Amino acid sequence: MISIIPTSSLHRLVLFISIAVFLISAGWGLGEPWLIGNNGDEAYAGAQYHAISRHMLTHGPIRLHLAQLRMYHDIPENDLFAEGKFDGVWLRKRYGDQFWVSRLPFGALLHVASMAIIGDTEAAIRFVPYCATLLLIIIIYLLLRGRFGESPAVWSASIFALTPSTILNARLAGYELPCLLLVVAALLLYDRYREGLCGFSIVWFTCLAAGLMGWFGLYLVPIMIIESLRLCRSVDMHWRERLLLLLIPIVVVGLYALYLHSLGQPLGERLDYFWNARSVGAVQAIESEDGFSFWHFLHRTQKYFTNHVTVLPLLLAFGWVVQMLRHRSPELSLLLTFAVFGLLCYTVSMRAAYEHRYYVLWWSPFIACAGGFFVSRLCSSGQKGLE
Amino acid sequence: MKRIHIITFLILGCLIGSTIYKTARHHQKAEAGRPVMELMRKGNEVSKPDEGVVVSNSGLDSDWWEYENHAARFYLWRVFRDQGYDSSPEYIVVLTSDSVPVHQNDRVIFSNDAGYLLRFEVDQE
Repeated sequence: MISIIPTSSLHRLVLFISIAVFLISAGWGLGEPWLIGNNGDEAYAGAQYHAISRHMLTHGPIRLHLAQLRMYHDIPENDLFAEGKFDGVWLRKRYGDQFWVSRLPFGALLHVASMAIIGDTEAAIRFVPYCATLLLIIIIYLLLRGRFGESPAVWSASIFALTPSTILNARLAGYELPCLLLVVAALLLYDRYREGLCGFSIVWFTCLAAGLMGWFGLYLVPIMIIESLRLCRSVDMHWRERLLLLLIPIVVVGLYALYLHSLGQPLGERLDYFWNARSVGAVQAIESEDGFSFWHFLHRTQKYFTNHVTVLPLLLAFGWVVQMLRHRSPELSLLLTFAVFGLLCYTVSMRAAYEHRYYVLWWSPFIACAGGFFVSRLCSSGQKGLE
Repeated sequence: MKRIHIITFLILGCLIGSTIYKTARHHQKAEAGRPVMELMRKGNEVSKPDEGVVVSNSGLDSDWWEYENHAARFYLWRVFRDQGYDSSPEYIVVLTSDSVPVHQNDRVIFSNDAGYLLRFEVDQE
């Protein structure tokens, strides 16, 4: 009975089922506060972003920014829990004077927009990553289909949609998923532009937005530099386009530096903070404290991956890597950029990756797409290859 | 049945199966904490508003104690604000895992698979 389903319908069925399972699994209990959590963060982050957005809607982002920096420094302790003042005080206590250094305002603006449309609930905050993930699944499918064909596009999108890490993070209040959406779109668009499948302006604006969406966008900068240089060499384009392309990473870093300067923290200090509090330096600090070794890091990482990505997608991705060792395929350069992005997120923020399970998310696009290409080849083995 | 159909349904079935299992386990874990959550929601009913309130969080580890302490205060403020109170309570009860350092004045008042319910004094700073 099943065998009468034609291949094109089979692909559509796989995609439809995957998206349906994702929508139900990630959407189940989305509006129920404080019950489901990943690392315990969801309960915390949901409430936090809810209050920030509520405050922004009431007073505007500039006011909250000023409140954080200056206005509530001398507030009497008795007023700590008073309406409208707590946000600034609490944020200051948690983040010092640097709340917007830790949390860039762009993600918060998405939450504000969602609350303005849906209403004053935490569900509105969780709705942002939920929608961003759905959009990311669709973008992976559409952009890969135009470049590599139906089968790898369907399988990549389906594996991404059905990875437990995707589902758990799609309901975690924060700006990680909108950031990942833009990063993946930017990397896919670089690849499509090289093949002459999309216009220059969409690549430029998506890359800029991806770079500025959150701190993880900064990890895209080294990849942007390499991709821009590769495009300048391989694609025939006007010198103005070459210049604009090379300007993207400079504009991103420049805007970050200006932004940090406006908050009174030079870029150098921020990089120092990253090294000492989040990066390899921080891991070395734990190491010297209580017998922590790099093996602890690897052991916990392996646990996070097997629990949150699960064994099957990992095996499929591994299958693709083995295939690539035997002979190279056109998707190699695209998937390498995904892998480099995951590697940068994981190593530059090593301490955070050690503490947070959700960091496996940054590897998800690579694992899903590598698995997708492998399954696609598995299905078509016996016939000619994908190309 | 064609090879493509067998592979498709095998892989899709395994992916869906493991995803549903993982998500269900996640919900199950959270459900284990439901009695405490219910307690939390009734916090204002079971405790005098000007003395203390039950709030919750889960999955803490020692490095996040200070961080979650603030989160607890944050919840507390929300509950109080929603109830129309603006006074500062004397203690907070927080649901936590077993790995947090228990302060001298903290007291475990409830525990189950989901974690421990600790009562700790509000830091007035």
